[in-house]
Amino acid sequence: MKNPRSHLGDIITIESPLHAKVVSLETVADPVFSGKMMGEGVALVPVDGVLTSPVDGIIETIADTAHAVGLRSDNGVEILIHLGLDTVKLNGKHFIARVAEGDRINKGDILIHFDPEGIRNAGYNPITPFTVINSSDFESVLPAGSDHVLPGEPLLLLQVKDK
Amino acid sequence: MRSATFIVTATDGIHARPAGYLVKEAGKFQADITISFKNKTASARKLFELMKLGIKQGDMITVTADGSDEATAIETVMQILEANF
Repeated sequence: MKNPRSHLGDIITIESPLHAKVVSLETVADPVFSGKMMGEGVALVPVDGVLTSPVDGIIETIADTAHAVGLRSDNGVEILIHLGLDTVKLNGKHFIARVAEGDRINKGDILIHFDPEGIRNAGYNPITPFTVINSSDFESVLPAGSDHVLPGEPLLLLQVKDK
Repeated sequence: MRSATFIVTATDGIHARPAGYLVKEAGKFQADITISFKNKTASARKLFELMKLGIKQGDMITVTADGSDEATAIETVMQILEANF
């Protein structure tokens, strides 16, 4: 007898890059994110301003305003972390990049320092969509379940497609 | 195959957000769509490739589409890159 469960792929756990409150992506007041155009994921309400790497991998792209960063993990997960909504308009104010495009990164490495309070005071929402750009490469991309996370705690669970 | 060269008028250029929207829209066409800027070319279906181009307002880019709906594809991409995101 075949156990159908044995056909399900492995689970990849993606860890949180921030100390944050976790909310659903659908609550983000931007249809590009809430409409899943950037893939499945969650949104993080930052408690502090230290963004660390959720994976071992490389920096694929980082905005020169340092408000958004794209990562590729060694196991093939493509992640976009967008610090705040519409924060491209801050032109880099309240953000300091600690990495550059092409850099090799490990879990926990500091990627960006930012100032959630400064972003708020400038009239922007620091809520941070965290999405798996290549969600369709996975069977499922689901929140790990906590509504409050520290850096390094489980944030998303990805089920690998059966080969 | 056809292509069009034009100047990006969107205030903040092609950053993450408009790139995401572009990927979504590009996926609706049969044609393969690429965007070229300064010797670099990105597939309009690849978010990170688009972001890496680092296109700002005022930059001149070339959009190329190859497929049965290439004319509409180019028109759509141009509209997205003119809009303010």
